[in-house]
Amino acid sequence: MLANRKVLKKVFPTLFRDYGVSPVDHYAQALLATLRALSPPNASGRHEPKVVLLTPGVFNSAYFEHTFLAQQMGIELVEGRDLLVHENVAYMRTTAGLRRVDVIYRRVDDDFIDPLCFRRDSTLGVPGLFNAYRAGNVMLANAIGTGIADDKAVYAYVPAIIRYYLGEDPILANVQTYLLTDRSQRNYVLEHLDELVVKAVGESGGYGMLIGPHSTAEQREEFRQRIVAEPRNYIAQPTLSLSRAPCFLDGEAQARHVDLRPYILYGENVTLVPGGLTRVALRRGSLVVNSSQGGGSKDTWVLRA
Amino acid sequence: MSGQRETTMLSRVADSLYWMSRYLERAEHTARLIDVDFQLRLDQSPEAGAGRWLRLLEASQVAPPEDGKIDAATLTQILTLDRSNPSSIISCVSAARENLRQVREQCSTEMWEQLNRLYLQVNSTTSSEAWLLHSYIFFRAVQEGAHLFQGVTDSTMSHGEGWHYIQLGRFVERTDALARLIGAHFKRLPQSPDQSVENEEYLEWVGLLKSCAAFEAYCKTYTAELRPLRVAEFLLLNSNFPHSVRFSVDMVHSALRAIGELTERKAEQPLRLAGRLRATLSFSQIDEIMASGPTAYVDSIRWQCAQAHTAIHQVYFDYSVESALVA
Repeated sequence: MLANRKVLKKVFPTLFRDYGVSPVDHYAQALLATLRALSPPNASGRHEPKVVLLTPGVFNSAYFEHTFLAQQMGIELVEGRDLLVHENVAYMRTTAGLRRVDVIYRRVDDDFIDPLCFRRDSTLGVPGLFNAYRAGNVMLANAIGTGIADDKAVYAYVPAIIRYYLGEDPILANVQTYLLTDRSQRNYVLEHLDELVVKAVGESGGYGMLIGPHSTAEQREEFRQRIVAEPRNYIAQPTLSLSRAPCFLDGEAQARHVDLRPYILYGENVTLVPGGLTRVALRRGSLVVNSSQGGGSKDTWVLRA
Repeated sequence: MSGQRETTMLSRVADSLYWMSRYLERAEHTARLIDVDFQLRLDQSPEAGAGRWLRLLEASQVAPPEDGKIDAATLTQILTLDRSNPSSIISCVSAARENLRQVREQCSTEMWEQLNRLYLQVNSTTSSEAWLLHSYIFFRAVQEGAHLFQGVTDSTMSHGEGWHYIQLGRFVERTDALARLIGAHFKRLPQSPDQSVENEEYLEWVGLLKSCAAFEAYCKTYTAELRPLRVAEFLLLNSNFPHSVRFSVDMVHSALRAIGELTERKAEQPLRLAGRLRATLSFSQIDEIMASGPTAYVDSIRWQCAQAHTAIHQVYFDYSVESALVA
């Protein structure tokens, strides 16, 4: 998002002046404020809680983003070996001695974050970190276990979650989502495979998907067998006609499918960044916008009223 | 605590900057040694070089071949492009780059680009007979690349704690390398060190000075009349020349003092060790050094330098949890 905006500003400076595009540059600052607001119950007591970004290291494909964010926020970029836990308190190793750490913005997966608790063979994590967290001496963002939201089946329950916790109806309707563990829903899906999109619940990046209208009979048969074997592993949704936006490709303007990733930060308050990442399916007709499958992206504007 | 933002530097980052700098200094030093040797060879019979080549290997901490026989081509190959030799130029430049890559966000873009450029240049070099004939171009390029990196570093990076670790690495390495080289040369103590040397001998002493980039500076101080005593004095005790042991130790000391102040750990062991070494060099007399044996003297310097290196590691990079619970 930030890089897209930077490029576009360089290429079309006058557009920004004339249209009143809301700036997104404060994203890093808002993220830092959100992280600081997470300060743990037993913080170290200094004015500002000490925030660090925990990265798996230079070999991670998102390492550039980690260094960029750490630099923009002005916080330390640490690896697992820079941190240690002593008597349930997390420290980082600095040249001036050990410094207490209050909030860890971690970009290391749950499984790898603490070899004493989760995967024993992990060298990316910090032994004892989970205990420090449990003792209230350090906060992790996102919290351990939030990965459950990546399970696509959770999405089907979102309206029910809103009604239960907030006692109100959702303002935005869900996309109709079929849970394949339910017999009648499953039967419906199996009969309409050529109209629906089937997604594996644990996959991301546009993998493990069947797009009914674009599929062959063999592919549908393959997914039918997979669904029958492991219904919990899949959900189905109607094929959406994604919005299209003009893209300048091969020297001419062409239409491509897009979707929008908003950036929402939830700390003391909810901050909605007036911009976002518009993902573009670069292949003509394709509905797969994921960058890992060659999707592109566009700068996204919110205009000042 | 004051209201100012405290500066913190991760131990891992400091460690990487320190080693990056040491490796690059080592590559530059090795390149200069072989470059000088290449020039000397032009003036000598092939047999006369053999002793010097063994000395070169010793100064580079490479074990000599078992039969004790070595020729110029093998020597060049071992010290430049042999990846299995950890102190070859290619190994050192690769290690320097790898260290900087790990802390890419801590250095300026210009620094990264310069070191990467040097790395790509060294890495694309393949050994051949034709290359050996013109290898002096390669040695010059490595030295220039390292000099350029130092200049870029000094003018584009904040002279804060990180920069001081780079200084520290460079001059710890230089102290050790100079001491090793001088030690190897003075193993055969000249009969009368205060007499000027001639002929073949003369070339060897010129070689030593040039290997320390010191020939011109020596001539300005003592004229072109080479006496081993004066060479030793210049390379060990001169306080103004950047490739003398004393100058290097002074720089190590001032880098450690700056780091001590920045980290508020002034009374620490590394600074004391460097201070002692500095005092030794400041108050030494060259006559006494020659009388009691110059090799013993440089060995003691190397030993103290190694102690300081160990202390730097223990205090700043790899300390125990108990010793360091501060805030």
